[in-house]
Amino acid sequence: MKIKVLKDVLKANDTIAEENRTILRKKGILTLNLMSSPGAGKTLILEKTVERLKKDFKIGVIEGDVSTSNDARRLARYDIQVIQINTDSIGGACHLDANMVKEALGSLNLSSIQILFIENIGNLICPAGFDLGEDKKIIVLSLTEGEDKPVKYPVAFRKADLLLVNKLDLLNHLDIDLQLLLKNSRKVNPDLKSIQLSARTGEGIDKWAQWIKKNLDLKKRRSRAQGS
Amino acid sequence: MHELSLAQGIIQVIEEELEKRKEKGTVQKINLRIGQLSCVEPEALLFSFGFCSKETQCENAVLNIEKVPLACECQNCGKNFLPKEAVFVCPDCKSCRIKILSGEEFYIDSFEIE
Repeated sequence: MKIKVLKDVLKANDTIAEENRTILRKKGILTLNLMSSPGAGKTLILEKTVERLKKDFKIGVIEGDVSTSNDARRLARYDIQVIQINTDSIGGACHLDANMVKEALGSLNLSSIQILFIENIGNLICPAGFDLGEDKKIIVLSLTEGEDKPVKYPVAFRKADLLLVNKLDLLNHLDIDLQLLLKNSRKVNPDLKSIQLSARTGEGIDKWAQWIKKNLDLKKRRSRAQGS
Repeated sequence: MHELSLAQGIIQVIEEELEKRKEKGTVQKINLRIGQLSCVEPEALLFSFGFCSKETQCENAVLNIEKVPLACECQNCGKNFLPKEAVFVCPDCKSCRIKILSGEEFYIDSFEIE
């Protein structure tokens, strides 16, 4: 006997992601999902961002790593809410999924968070396939990774809302063609905006902080409009 | 390695369907539709399914995988095409503004029980 199912296997994730999105919308929290390959500088970018924004905004961070709580410790120094998800207890998963984020949301005091960063597992492939309930997907690409990454890993770049090009301080020490990198990123995602920065020197962090503030304002305005 | 969680997802969906229908039979075949762009590696999925399905009603099931090709529509000139490369460019007007019509899905189409 043949039984017709027609069920999307990833649907379970999308359903939970929508629940997360609803919770976060009710609280008016801007949620940003940071994706990159390992070592692109997500954590240092977050440290510099928190340094810049923490005096004006209440910030939370969900840190995803296969193992260790090194990154959470780095961010906890800034006296903000940080929660570490380690996926080695769940088979070393190569990405965060909506359910892991849902559990993490349960352990955060959401009433005192305005901006929530989710630092995904360092991986340019799998995280792109899993909606977490975020407002925006941010892709971080560092100059040392080469200008062809957007066309080699197009899925992640296609789904991103913003590209942060990191390690700008190395530009003159590398053979990288920054314009080609940006052109490649627009080839897979013509609407992809980019901000160039160096988390190490702090160059460009202001522009990124402005982008976050603008999106937080937009979100607040939108949720007020929906609420009335 | 997320084929492991996908294999668990398949078994979970089938078990829910069996429960709903109060079916006690064993699953012989599971028909899947996997998009070319879903990043699912069929070999890894078969391997993961092999050990996830042990001692379930899916233990003896064969996975029949139908690959769904990637189909795109140009948002500039409206042409439908099947891209040959990972970067999608309209073959007619060369625009990069492309909508994906199919190829991202990961569906259980149906299954067969005895």
